[in-house]
Amino acid sequence: MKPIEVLHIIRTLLDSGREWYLNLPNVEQLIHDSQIKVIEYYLRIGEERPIRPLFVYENIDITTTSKNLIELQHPLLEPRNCVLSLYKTNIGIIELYNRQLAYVPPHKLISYNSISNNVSNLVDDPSTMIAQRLGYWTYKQSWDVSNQKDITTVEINDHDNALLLMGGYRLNLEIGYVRVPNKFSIENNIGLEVTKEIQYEVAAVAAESINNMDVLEYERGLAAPPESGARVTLDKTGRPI
Amino acid sequence: MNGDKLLSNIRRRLRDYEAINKQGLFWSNEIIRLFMNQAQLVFFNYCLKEGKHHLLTHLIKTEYIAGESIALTALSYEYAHAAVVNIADIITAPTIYRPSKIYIGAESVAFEHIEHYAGHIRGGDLTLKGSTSGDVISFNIGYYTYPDTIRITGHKEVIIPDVYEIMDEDTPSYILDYHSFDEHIYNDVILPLTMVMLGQKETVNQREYKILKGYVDLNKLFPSMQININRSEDRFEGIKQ
Repeated sequence: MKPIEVLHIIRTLLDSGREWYLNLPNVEQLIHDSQIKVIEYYLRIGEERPIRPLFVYENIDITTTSKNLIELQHPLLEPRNCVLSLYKTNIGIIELYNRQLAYVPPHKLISYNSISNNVSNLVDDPSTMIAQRLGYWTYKQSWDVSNQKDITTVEINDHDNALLLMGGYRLNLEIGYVRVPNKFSIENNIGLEVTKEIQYEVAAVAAESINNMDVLEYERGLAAPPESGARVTLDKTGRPI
Repeated sequence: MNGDKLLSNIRRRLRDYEAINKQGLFWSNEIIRLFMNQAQLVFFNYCLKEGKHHLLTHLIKTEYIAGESIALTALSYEYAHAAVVNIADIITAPTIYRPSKIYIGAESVAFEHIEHYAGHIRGGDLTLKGSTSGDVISFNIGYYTYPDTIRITGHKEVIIPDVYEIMDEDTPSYILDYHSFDEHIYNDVILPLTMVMLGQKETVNQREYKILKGYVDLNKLFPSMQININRSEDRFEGIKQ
């Protein structure tokens, strides 16, 4: 569906234009929010088919990267999977192991620290020694001031640092995640990014939230409207009386 | 798909027609076309979500693809349900066919390193993987396509045909030239669904109730102003029957 068609659907559902209508930037923002709501709904019911265009798969070589600064290409909406694999690169490229990392919340990652780092054991036969180990991962969101966008940084905690220092090994991180869709914009012709069959759902949710804003009067929060010129008296907690 | 006759059908059901005592058409052709297309996609999504694949038999396609991967946009792909992998084998001269599963999104990362024949859908691409890399030479894929877009071409409202002969009694299919669903689905599902979606503009929702309530309050203040808010007879059509 084209961006302008989404807007037409919303206007039709709202029967608007008679006495009240949101301005374009607000509508665009609400469409964007609704799209995320719908994506989260489908993730919750375990159906990834309609949101598959937003699924990103990244294969990152983190042999020399600092393990708390692995930057993703897109802002992350929902983490789905993280697989760590170790390759031996001395003679050909042989995959020694791969394992699914467990997700832990960012503030808890430090508690899941490495247990042992016995280099002498690793030297003999890494493929048998390391395969039993566990690894953990988490992610953090931050705001990039210079580029004006969200950045997602992945941090992992595992035990292979000592091994990598010896050389001849390569560590790969494969991350599957659902990214944040691009901001819906009529002007820049950026439409909805979910698949066609659920785009109506997004438009309907947006219409619903606009309707609620009007009917439930979300926009009239202050006791005295500012255009009336009356002073708003505040109580001790700073709330208008 | 030519949706001219669907359009007249919907106008009948919505009672949206031009007459002497009517102001004119309420919904434009374009809006009805937009909603019809969305209605069939909503139904399509419902069938896939609920596993009612027997309603989508018109949409199954099978395709032979040389190579290991394909961009899904080339297929107008909706939902791959099965794939057969064609594997190069040096010892036995003809190639062998093996069934394979298709993984979407997060599942695909989890099964990445397990050696079996599988298709991985990530973002916009479908890639087939064999037990060792590079042994898939081609594959057959079965998938659902999107339903054909409903278009309106030269719509003309004909109530009584001018020439009797144009009514062709030999063709029972009065609706469509080509259709993506069984014919009764258009009549029984897609048309009523479009009607409901468009009709949200006509039925009393919260927003309109608020407006109507304003009229009622006005009526209390000035009893001489007789405003019958339930004038519309259409609204009670269903109850009478």
